[in-house]
Amino acid sequence: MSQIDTSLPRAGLARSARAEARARAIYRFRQSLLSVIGLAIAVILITVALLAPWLLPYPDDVTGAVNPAVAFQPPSAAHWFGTNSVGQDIMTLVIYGSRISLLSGVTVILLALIIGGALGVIAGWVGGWIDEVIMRITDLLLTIPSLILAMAVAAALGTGIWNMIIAITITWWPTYARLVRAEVAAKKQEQFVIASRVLGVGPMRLIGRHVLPNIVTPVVVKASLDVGFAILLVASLGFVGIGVKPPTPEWGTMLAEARNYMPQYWWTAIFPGTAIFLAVLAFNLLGDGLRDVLDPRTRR
Amino acid sequence: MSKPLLKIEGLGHVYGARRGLFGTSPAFRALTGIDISVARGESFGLVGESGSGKTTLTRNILGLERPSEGHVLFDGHPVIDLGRGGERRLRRRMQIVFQDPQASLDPRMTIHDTIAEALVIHGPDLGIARSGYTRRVLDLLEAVGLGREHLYRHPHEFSGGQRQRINIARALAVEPELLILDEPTSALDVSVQADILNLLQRLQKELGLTYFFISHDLGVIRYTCDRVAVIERGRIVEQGPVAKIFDTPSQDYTRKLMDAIPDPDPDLSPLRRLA
Repeated sequence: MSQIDTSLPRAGLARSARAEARARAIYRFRQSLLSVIGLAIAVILITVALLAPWLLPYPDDVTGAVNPAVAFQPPSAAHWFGTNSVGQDIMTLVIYGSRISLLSGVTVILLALIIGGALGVIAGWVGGWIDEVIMRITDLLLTIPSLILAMAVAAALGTGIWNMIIAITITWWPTYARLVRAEVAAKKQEQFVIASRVLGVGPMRLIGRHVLPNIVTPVVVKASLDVGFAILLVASLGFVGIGVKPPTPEWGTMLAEARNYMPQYWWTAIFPGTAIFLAVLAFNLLGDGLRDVLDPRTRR
Repeated sequence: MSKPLLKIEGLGHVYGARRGLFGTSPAFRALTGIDISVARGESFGLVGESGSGKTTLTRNILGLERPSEGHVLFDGHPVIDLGRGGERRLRRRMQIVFQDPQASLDPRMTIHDTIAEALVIHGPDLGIARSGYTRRVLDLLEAVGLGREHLYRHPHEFSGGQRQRINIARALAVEPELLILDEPTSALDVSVQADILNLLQRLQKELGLTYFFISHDLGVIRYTCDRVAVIERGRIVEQGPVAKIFDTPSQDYTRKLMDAIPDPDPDLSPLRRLA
């Protein structure tokens, strides 16, 4: 045997193994056409939302400018998606609406993840009566329909995007608390966690280094699926009139208004409706695709 | 005999009764009156079927559970209620290799990080600086028959036998005096079992380790241990030097276990059909 270089033990091998794993994951994701479509739509939506200020054909319409002379124009070269009852460009509103929908959808899930995740870890790790208390509160909150709670919050604090986000988050974090608690409680009993404990590893390091990295998969999958549902819920709240306040354009609110002008002025409803549909679909497909990549056991 | 390294006195463990909404689950007595003493440098075997209380005993020795009766003394000191510093010192001196080599390795960690974790916790006590971790991990891997090319791989890239070598390397990282071997070979192929047992014997000789060897396989115990205790339903039914127990078992239970050893001569096997 020849002498191997001892100075750089990390050379080559590590990267190649990791690169190979990544290549395999990408391959698996690409195997599913639907996931790729989901990812593509999601990326386009996020890009549009980020670049919205530069993409708006009629920026003034966002702040509530009206132009009755061009009310109810059908889709044309000047107004690709047509105009609404007060002559605002629907494409402008839909593009700007993507910011509201994606922002609130993602914020709700992030907040729910942080709150529910933290409480879930505590409940699952500590156990005992602390677990009981946290999980019974969780069960209690799960019984409140988010729509009803959002109405109550809107009634109490007034309508507005942040009140809506708070209301949805209150009803959403318990689902994460449940998921994380179950995963943590299961991982806590795993042999490799006990082995580290016997080695003298403290609870913080056990949770941070061994438990959390091993429960990321189901949590990430749920979160990406949930973003779609959160967007739908935001739109529903807008539709029933307790979500984002006009003139801020929001897909659900636009749809509610368009309801009055169906079916003659179909374009006022079709485009915001399609936007909602695409956003929810995209995150659902993306979540399914991620599950296939991250959790091979559930693959067909 | 010198002072025993591990002394178990009158140990009993009862899993508490749980009162639930739909009635009470009864208390379960897992261990009764266990007396064992393991001398420094010997290999002590513990034999018993599954469900006989071996795992509970292990957890009590490790201080992961509080005994209901009696106590476990390591080098004369109890293994529970040590406080942070005391517990760390104990962990350094007593380690375990579990039965399932795959389940005892964190699937997301490289072998380097898994073994180096022992050094992160105990490095200062061992006199190893952060910069020396990789060197030390490599030495440990080589001691158990693995090499540099395995350093940054993940557990799923190894065979069962290799994984068990990694578990042994991790346990040895803290330079323990007592190594508890909880069925270290029962999840492995027969040919690999022999490799691991030989490795363990070599390590014991080189490092002067004391083994507490748990198994349901009497053949393995006979091969590795000096003294043996037989446990049945939470009680030690027989205890003594391996040769004596194997040659003149006094208990039916021990005889039953011994009859379960497969005969190494295939021609005598009842499963063998006449060709």
